[in-house]
Amino acid sequence: MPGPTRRQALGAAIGVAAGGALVGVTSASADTVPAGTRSGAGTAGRTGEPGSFDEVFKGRRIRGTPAEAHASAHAHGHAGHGAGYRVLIDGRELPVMRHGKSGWSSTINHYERFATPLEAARTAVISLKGAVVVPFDPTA
Amino acid sequence: MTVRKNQASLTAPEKKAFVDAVLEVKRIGVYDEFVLAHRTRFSIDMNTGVYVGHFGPSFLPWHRKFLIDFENELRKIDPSVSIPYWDWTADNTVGSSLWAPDFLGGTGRPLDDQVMDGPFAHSGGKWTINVSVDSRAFLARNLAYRVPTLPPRSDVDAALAMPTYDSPPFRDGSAGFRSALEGSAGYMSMHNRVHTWVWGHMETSVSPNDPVFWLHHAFVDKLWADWHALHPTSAEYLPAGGTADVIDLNDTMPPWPNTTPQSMLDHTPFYTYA
Ligand SMILES: [Cu+2]
Repeated sequence: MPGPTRRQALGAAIGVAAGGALVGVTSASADTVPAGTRSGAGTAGRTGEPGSFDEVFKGRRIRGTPAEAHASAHAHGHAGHGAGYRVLIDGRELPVMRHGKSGWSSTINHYERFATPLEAARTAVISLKGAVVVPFDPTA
Repeated sequence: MTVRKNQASLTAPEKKAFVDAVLEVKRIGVYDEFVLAHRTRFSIDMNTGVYVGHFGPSFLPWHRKFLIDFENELRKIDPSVSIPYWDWTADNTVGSSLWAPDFLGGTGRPLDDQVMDGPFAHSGGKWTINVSVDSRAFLARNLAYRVPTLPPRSDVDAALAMPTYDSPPFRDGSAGFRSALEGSAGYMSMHNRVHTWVWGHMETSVSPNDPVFWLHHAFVDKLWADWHALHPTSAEYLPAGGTADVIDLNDTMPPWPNTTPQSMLDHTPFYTYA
Protein backbone atom coordinates (compact mmCIF):
# COMPACT_ATOMS: atom_id res chain seq x y z
CA MET A 1 0.00 0.00 0.00
CA PRO A 2 1.61 3.25 -1.05
CA GLY A 3 1.51 6.16 1.31
CA PRO A 4 -0.44 9.29 0.47
CA THR A 5 1.82 10.80 -2.11
CA ARG A 6 2.66 14.41 -2.54
CA ARG A 7 1.01 14.25 -5.93
CA GLN A 8 -2.25 12.89 -4.51
CA ALA A 9 -2.31 15.47 -1.77
CA LEU A 10 -1.64 18.30 -4.19
CA GLY A 11 -4.24 17.09 -6.64
CA ALA A 12 -6.89 17.09 -3.98
CA ALA A 13 -5.82 20.48 -2.71
CA ILE A 14 -5.92 22.06 -6.13
CA GLY A 15 -9.35 20.60 -6.70
CA VAL A 16 -10.63 22.52 -3.73
CA ALA A 17 -8.78 25.67 -4.68
CA ALA A 18 -10.72 25.73 -7.92
CA GLY A 19 -14.04 25.10 -6.19
CA GLY A 20 -14.52 28.48 -4.60
CA ALA A 21 -18.26 28.04 -4.54
CA LEU A 22 -17.94 25.35 -1.90
CA VAL A 23 -16.66 27.90 0.54
CA GLY A 24 -19.82 29.92 0.27
CA VAL A 25 -21.97 26.85 0.74
CA THR A 26 -20.08 25.89 3.86
CA SER A 27 -20.36 29.32 5.39
CA ALA A 28 -24.03 29.61 4.65
CA SER A 29 -24.90 26.22 6.10
CA ALA A 30 -22.74 26.47 9.20
CA ASP A 31 -24.52 26.88 12.46
CA THR A 32 -24.12 30.34 13.84
CA VAL A 33 -22.08 30.99 16.95
CA PRO A 34 -22.94 33.71 19.40
CA ALA A 35 -21.66 37.12 18.36
CA GLY A 36 -18.08 37.73 19.39
CA THR A 37 -18.62 39.35 22.72
CA ARG A 38 -14.92 39.24 23.50
CA SER A 39 -14.09 41.28 20.42
CA GLY A 40 -15.54 44.14 22.42
CA ALA A 41 -13.71 46.89 20.60
CA GLY A 42 -14.84 45.56 17.26
CA THR A 43 -17.68 46.71 15.14
CA ALA A 44 -20.83 44.63 15.15
CA GLY A 45 -21.13 42.33 12.18
CA ARG A 46 -24.30 40.89 10.75
CA THR A 47 -26.33 38.72 13.06
CA GLY A 48 -24.32 35.88 14.55
CA GLU A 49 -21.05 37.05 13.02
CA PRO A 50 -18.07 38.30 15.01
CA GLY A 51 -17.06 41.90 14.38
CA SER A 52 -13.67 43.31 13.47
CA PHE A 53 -10.78 43.75 15.90
CA ASP A 54 -7.41 45.49 15.79
CA GLU A 55 -5.12 45.41 18.82
CA VAL A 56 -1.58 44.85 20.00
CA PHE A 57 -1.40 41.65 22.05
CA LYS A 58 1.88 40.65 23.70
CA GLY A 59 3.71 42.92 21.29
CA ARG A 60 2.10 41.54 18.15
CA ARG A 61 -0.45 43.39 16.07
CA ILE A 62 -3.51 41.24 15.50
CA ARG A 63 -6.35 42.21 13.22
CA GLY A 64 -9.55 40.47 12.22
CA THR A 65 -12.23 41.29 9.69
CA PRO A 66 -15.30 39.48 8.42
CA ALA A 67 -14.54 38.06 5.00
CA GLU A 68 -17.23 40.12 3.25
CA ALA A 69 -14.73 42.93 3.04
CA HIS A 70 -12.16 40.77 1.29
CA ALA A 71 -14.21 37.97 -0.16
CA SER A 72 -13.20 37.81 -3.79
CA ALA A 73 -9.54 38.79 -3.59
CA HIS A 74 -9.04 36.55 -0.63
CA ALA A 75 -10.67 33.48 -2.12
CA HIS A 76 -8.47 33.73 -5.18
CA GLY A 77 -5.29 34.39 -3.32
CA HIS A 78 -5.51 31.78 -0.60
CA ALA A 79 -7.33 28.74 -1.90
CA GLY A 80 -10.44 29.56 0.05
CA HIS A 81 -8.73 29.53 3.42
CA GLY A 82 -10.21 31.56 6.22
CA ALA A 83 -13.70 31.26 4.83
CA GLY A 84 -15.98 33.67 6.65
CA TYR A 85 -13.32 35.58 8.49
CA ARG A 86 -9.76 36.86 7.99
CA VAL A 87 -7.11 37.17 10.72
CA LEU A 88 -3.68 38.81 10.40
CA ILE A 89 -0.75 38.61 12.83
CA ASP A 90 1.77 41.35 12.08
CA GLY A 91 0.25 41.52 8.62
CA ARG A 92 0.59 37.80 7.90
CA GLU A 93 -2.47 35.69 7.46
CA LEU A 94 -3.44 33.20 10.13
CA PRO A 95 -5.92 30.75 8.56
CA VAL A 96 -8.95 30.39 10.82
CA MET A 97 -11.98 28.20 10.41
CA ARG A 98 -15.37 27.80 12.00
CA HIS A 99 -16.57 24.47 13.36
CA GLY A 100 -20.33 24.72 13.31
CA LYS A 101 -21.72 25.40 16.77
CA SER A 102 -18.55 24.64 18.65
CA GLY A 103 -16.56 27.69 17.66
CA TRP A 104 -13.37 28.61 15.86
CA SER A 105 -9.88 27.20 15.48
CA SER A 106 -6.75 28.16 13.52
CA THR A 107 -3.93 26.25 11.88
CA ILE A 108 -1.77 27.02 14.93
CA ASN A 109 -4.35 25.78 17.46
CA HIS A 110 -6.25 23.17 15.54
CA TYR A 111 -7.45 20.98 18.40
CA GLU A 112 -9.03 23.74 20.48
CA ARG A 113 -12.21 25.70 19.98
CA PHE A 114 -12.48 29.43 20.53
CA ALA A 115 -15.62 31.47 20.97
CA THR A 116 -14.29 34.17 18.65
CA PRO A 117 -11.57 34.71 16.03
CA LEU A 118 -9.99 37.21 18.46
CA GLU A 119 -9.41 34.43 20.98
CA ALA A 120 -7.95 32.26 18.22
CA ALA A 121 -5.58 35.09 17.24
CA ARG A 122 -4.45 35.76 20.81
CA THR A 123 -3.81 32.07 21.47
CA ALA A 124 -1.80 31.79 18.26
CA VAL A 125 0.40 34.66 19.47
CA ILE A 126 0.98 32.79 22.75
CA SER A 127 1.81 29.61 20.83
CA LEU A 128 4.19 31.21 18.35
CA LYS A 129 6.42 32.88 20.97
CA GLY A 130 7.77 35.27 18.36
CA ALA A 131 7.68 32.98 15.32
CA VAL A 132 5.63 34.18 12.37
CA VAL A 133 2.85 32.47 10.49
CA VAL A 134 3.73 31.59 6.91
CA PRO A 135 1.29 31.68 4.01
CA PHE A 136 -0.49 28.44 3.38
CA ASP A 137 -0.10 27.55 -0.26
CA PRO A 138 -1.12 24.01 -1.17
CA THR A 139 0.63 24.31 -4.52
CA ALA A 140 3.99 25.28 -3.00
CA MET B 1 3.34 -10.16 11.88
CA THR B 2 3.23 -6.62 13.13
CA VAL B 3 2.61 -6.31 16.84
CA ARG B 4 2.03 -2.88 18.34
CA LYS B 5 3.21 -2.65 21.95
CA ASN B 6 2.73 -0.26 24.83
CA GLN B 7 5.61 2.22 24.63
CA ALA B 8 6.20 1.81 28.37
CA SER B 9 7.17 -1.82 27.90
CA LEU B 10 9.64 -1.33 25.03
CA THR B 11 13.21 -2.45 25.57
CA ALA B 12 16.07 -0.03 24.96
CA PRO B 13 16.94 -1.74 21.63
CA GLU B 14 13.27 -1.55 20.56
CA LYS B 15 13.18 2.19 21.30
CA LYS B 16 16.37 2.72 19.36
CA ALA B 17 15.08 0.72 16.38
CA PHE B 18 11.88 2.76 16.28
CA VAL B 19 13.70 6.08 16.56
CA ASP B 20 16.25 5.11 13.92
CA ALA B 21 13.54 4.06 11.48
CA VAL B 22 11.66 7.33 12.01
CA LEU B 23 14.84 9.34 11.44
CA GLU B 24 15.56 7.42 8.24
CA VAL B 25 12.04 7.90 6.88
CA LYS B 26 12.55 11.59 7.63
CA ARG B 27 15.97 11.69 5.94
CA ILE B 28 14.67 10.24 2.68
CA GLY B 29 11.84 12.79 2.54
CA VAL B 30 8.95 10.39 3.01
CA TYR B 31 8.10 11.57 6.53
CA ASP B 32 7.26 15.06 5.34
CA GLU B 33 4.79 13.66 2.80
CA PHE B 34 2.76 12.40 5.74
CA VAL B 35 2.86 15.80 7.43
CA LEU B 36 1.76 17.40 4.17
CA ALA B 37 -1.07 14.91 3.75
CA HIS B 38 -2.36 15.68 7.26
CA ARG B 39 -2.22 19.43 6.72
CA THR B 40 -3.91 19.11 3.35
CA ARG B 41 -6.67 16.91 4.75
CA PHE B 42 -7.38 19.40 7.53
CA SER B 43 -7.48 22.24 5.04
CA ILE B 44 -9.83 20.49 2.65
CA ASP B 45 -12.09 19.30 5.45
CA MET B 46 -12.40 22.83 6.78
CA ASN B 47 -13.02 24.38 3.39
CA THR B 48 -15.51 21.89 2.00
CA GLY B 49 -17.40 21.05 5.18
CA VAL B 50 -17.04 17.35 4.31
CA TYR B 51 -15.15 16.14 7.36
CA VAL B 52 -13.04 13.17 6.32
CA GLY B 53 -9.97 13.09 8.56
CA HIS B 54 -11.41 14.80 11.63
CA PHE B 55 -14.68 15.89 13.26
CA GLY B 56 -16.73 13.11 11.70
CA PRO B 57 -17.19 9.33 11.88
CA SER B 58 -14.29 8.62 9.49
CA PHE B 59 -11.84 10.16 12.00
CA LEU B 60 -11.05 6.64 13.23
CA PRO B 61 -10.75 4.67 9.94
CA TRP B 62 -8.91 7.58 8.26
CA HIS B 63 -6.25 7.64 10.96
CA ARG B 64 -6.10 3.82 11.05
CA LYS B 65 -5.14 3.86 7.35
CA PHE B 66 -2.78 6.81 7.85
CA LEU B 67 -0.90 4.88 10.57
CA ILE B 68 -0.80 1.66 8.54
CA ASP B 69 0.83 3.53 5.66
CA PHE B 70 3.36 5.15 7.99
CA GLU B 71 4.10 1.86 9.72
CA ASN B 72 4.74 0.25 6.33
CA GLU B 73 7.31 2.96 5.57
CA LEU B 74 9.04 2.27 8.89
CA ARG B 75 9.08 -1.46 8.16
CA LYS B 76 10.72 -0.89 4.79
CA ILE B 77 13.61 0.51 6.80
CA ASP B 78 13.49 -2.08 9.60
CA PRO B 79 10.98 -4.98 9.44
CA SER B 80 11.19 -5.45 13.20
CA VAL B 81 9.64 -2.04 13.90
CA SER B 82 5.99 -1.26 14.66
CA ILE B 83 4.27 1.84 16.02
CA PRO B 84 4.14 1.74 19.83
CA TYR B 85 1.11 3.17 21.57
CA TRP B 86 1.08 5.73 24.36
CA ASP B 87 -1.57 5.07 27.00
CA TRP B 88 -1.84 8.66 28.18
CA THR B 89 -4.22 7.66 30.97
CA ALA B 90 -1.36 5.72 32.62
CA ASP B 91 1.86 7.46 31.52
CA ASN B 92 0.46 10.86 32.24
CA THR B 93 3.29 13.00 33.57
CA VAL B 94 6.15 14.95 32.02
CA GLY B 95 8.44 12.53 33.90
CA SER B 96 7.29 9.53 31.86
CA SER B 97 10.02 7.51 30.16
CA LEU B 98 8.31 8.42 26.90
CA TRP B 99 9.92 11.87 27.18
CA ALA B 100 13.42 10.66 28.08
CA PRO B 101 16.41 11.53 25.87
CA ASP B 102 16.67 7.92 24.63
CA PHE B 103 13.19 8.06 23.17
CA LEU B 104 11.20 11.16 22.19
CA GLY B 105 13.04 13.80 24.19
CA GLY B 106 11.38 16.14 26.64
CA THR B 107 9.52 19.41 26.80
CA GLY B 108 10.65 22.61 25.09
CA ARG B 109 12.72 25.40 26.62
CA PRO B 110 10.81 28.46 27.88
CA LEU B 111 12.26 30.88 25.33
CA ASP B 112 10.64 29.41 22.23
CA ASP B 113 9.30 25.96 23.21
CA GLN B 114 12.18 24.35 21.34
CA VAL B 115 12.85 20.71 22.23
CA MET B 116 16.51 20.58 23.29
CA ASP B 117 17.20 16.91 23.99
CA GLY B 118 16.58 13.53 22.42
CA PRO B 119 16.87 12.38 18.81
CA PHE B 120 14.42 14.98 17.50
CA ALA B 121 16.13 18.08 18.89
CA HIS B 122 16.91 20.45 16.04
CA SER B 123 20.49 20.79 17.21
CA GLY B 124 21.03 17.10 16.43
CA GLY B 125 20.73 17.96 12.75
CA LYS B 126 18.25 15.23 11.89
CA TRP B 127 14.92 16.88 12.56
CA THR B 128 14.11 20.06 10.68
CA ILE B 129 10.48 21.08 10.33
CA ASN B 130 9.90 21.48 6.59
CA VAL B 131 6.13 21.25 6.19
CA SER B 132 4.65 23.85 8.49
CA VAL B 133 2.26 26.71 9.00
CA ASP B 134 4.76 28.98 10.77
CA SER B 135 8.45 29.83 10.77
CA ARG B 136 9.60 27.41 13.48
CA ALA B 137 12.23 25.07 11.95
CA PHE B 138 12.64 23.21 15.28
CA LEU B 139 10.29 20.78 16.98
CA ALA B 140 8.28 22.64 19.64
CA ARG B 141 6.56 21.34 22.78
CA ASN B 142 5.36 22.70 26.07
CA LEU B 143 4.11 19.70 28.01
CA ALA B 144 1.24 20.33 30.44
CA TYR B 145 1.31 24.08 29.78
CA ARG B 146 -2.04 24.80 28.19
CA VAL B 147 -3.94 22.12 30.04
CA PRO B 148 -2.33 20.64 33.18
CA THR B 149 -3.62 17.09 33.04
CA LEU B 150 -4.22 14.38 30.47
CA PRO B 151 -7.62 12.70 30.18
CA PRO B 152 -8.26 10.33 33.10
CA ARG B 153 -9.05 6.66 32.64
CA SER B 154 -12.61 7.33 33.82
CA ASP B 155 -13.19 9.49 30.73
CA VAL B 156 -11.94 6.71 28.49
CA ASP B 157 -14.10 4.14 30.27
CA ALA B 158 -17.16 6.36 29.92
CA ALA B 159 -16.55 6.61 26.17
CA LEU B 160 -15.93 2.88 25.86
CA ALA B 161 -19.24 2.19 27.61
CA MET B 162 -21.23 3.94 24.88
CA PRO B 163 -22.93 1.29 22.73
CA THR B 164 -23.30 3.48 19.61
CA TYR B 165 -20.39 4.26 17.31
CA ASP B 166 -21.67 7.63 16.10
CA SER B 167 -24.99 9.32 15.47
CA PRO B 168 -26.56 12.16 13.46
CA PRO B 169 -25.46 14.77 12.59
CA PHE B 170 -22.13 12.87 12.53
CA ARG B 171 -20.10 15.95 13.47
CA ASP B 172 -18.72 17.80 16.47
CA GLY B 173 -20.81 16.94 19.47
CA SER B 174 -22.65 13.97 18.00
CA ALA B 175 -23.71 11.44 20.62
CA GLY B 176 -21.65 8.26 20.66
CA PHE B 177 -18.25 6.69 21.05
CA ARG B 178 -16.42 8.36 18.14
CA SER B 179 -17.22 11.92 19.12
CA ALA B 180 -16.53 11.26 22.81
CA LEU B 181 -13.15 9.73 21.99
CA GLU B 182 -12.17 12.42 19.51
CA GLY B 183 -13.08 15.04 22.06
CA SER B 184 -14.98 17.25 19.68
CA ALA B 185 -17.95 17.27 22.03
CA GLY B 186 -16.22 19.26 24.73
CA TYR B 187 -13.60 21.89 25.30
CA MET B 188 -10.19 20.19 25.24
CA SER B 189 -11.30 16.67 26.03
CA MET B 190 -9.96 13.23 25.16
CA HIS B 191 -8.01 12.96 21.84
CA ASN B 192 -8.07 16.72 21.30
CA ARG B 193 -6.91 17.35 24.87
CA VAL B 194 -3.84 15.17 24.36
CA HIS B 195 -2.79 17.25 21.36
CA THR B 196 -3.27 20.38 23.47
CA TRP B 197 -1.41 18.98 26.50
CA VAL B 198 1.70 18.36 24.36
CA TRP B 199 1.34 21.81 22.74
CA GLY B 200 3.87 23.09 20.18
CA HIS B 201 3.56 21.31 16.87
CA MET B 202 1.13 18.75 18.28
CA GLU B 203 -1.45 21.54 18.59
CA THR B 204 -1.19 22.62 14.94
CA SER B 205 -2.53 21.26 11.67
CA VAL B 206 0.99 19.87 11.07
CA SER B 207 0.89 17.79 14.26
CA PRO B 208 2.63 14.74 12.69
CA ASN B 209 5.84 16.80 12.83
CA ASP B 210 6.06 15.52 16.41
CA PRO B 211 6.71 11.75 16.40
CA VAL B 212 4.47 11.41 19.46
CA PHE B 213 1.60 11.92 17.01
CA TRP B 214 1.91 8.27 15.93
CA LEU B 215 2.02 6.92 19.49
CA HIS B 216 -0.99 9.02 20.47
CA HIS B 217 -3.04 7.90 17.49
CA ALA B 218 -2.00 4.27 17.95
CA PHE B 219 -3.62 4.40 21.40
CA VAL B 220 -6.73 6.08 20.00
CA ASP B 221 -6.82 3.30 17.39
CA LYS B 222 -6.44 0.64 20.07
CA LEU B 223 -9.37 2.15 21.95
CA TRP B 224 -11.50 1.72 18.84
CA ALA B 225 -10.55 -1.97 18.79
CA ASP B 226 -11.22 -2.22 22.54
CA TRP B 227 -14.62 -0.58 22.06
CA HIS B 228 -15.61 -3.11 19.43
CA ALA B 229 -14.58 -6.00 21.65
CA LEU B 230 -16.83 -4.57 24.40
CA HIS B 231 -19.79 -4.15 22.02
CA PRO B 232 -19.58 -7.06 19.59
CA THR B 233 -23.15 -6.58 18.40
CA SER B 234 -22.87 -2.82 17.78
CA ALA B 235 -22.25 -1.59 14.24
CA GLU B 236 -18.50 -1.07 14.07
CA TYR B 237 -19.06 2.02 11.98
CA LEU B 238 -21.93 4.37 11.20
CA PRO B 239 -23.52 5.73 9.03
CA ALA B 240 -24.13 2.77 6.77
CA GLY B 241 -25.09 4.74 3.67
CA GLY B 242 -26.83 7.62 1.95
CA THR B 243 -25.58 10.41 4.20
CA ALA B 244 -24.77 13.73 2.51
CA ASP B 245 -21.37 15.30 3.31
CA VAL B 246 -20.35 12.35 5.51
CA ILE B 247 -18.17 9.34 4.72
CA ASP B 248 -20.53 6.35 4.81
CA LEU B 249 -19.36 2.81 5.49
CA ASN B 250 -18.59 2.03 1.85
CA ASP B 251 -17.54 5.50 0.64
CA THR B 252 -13.90 5.96 -0.33
CA MET B 253 -11.82 8.12 1.97
CA PRO B 254 -9.54 10.57 0.15
CA PRO B 255 -6.65 10.74 -0.52
CA TRP B 256 -6.76 6.98 -1.00
CA PRO B 257 -8.56 5.77 -4.10
CA ASN B 258 -9.76 2.41 -2.72
CA THR B 259 -9.92 2.75 1.06
CA THR B 260 -13.34 2.70 2.72
CA PRO B 261 -14.25 2.58 6.41
CA GLN B 262 -15.44 -0.97 5.74
CA SER B 263 -11.94 -1.95 4.61
CA MET B 264 -10.49 -0.61 7.87
CA LEU B 265 -12.85 -2.27 10.36
CA ASP B 266 -10.64 -5.29 10.98
CA HIS B 267 -7.13 -4.25 11.94
CA THR B 268 -5.83 -7.78 12.46
CA PRO B 269 -4.71 -8.35 8.85
CA PHE B 270 -2.37 -5.39 9.36
CA TYR B 271 -1.26 -5.63 13.00
CA THR B 272 -2.33 -6.80 16.42
CA TYR B 273 -2.01 -5.17 19.84
CA ALA B 274 0.09 -6.70 22.58
CU1 LIG C 1 -4.90 13.56 16.53
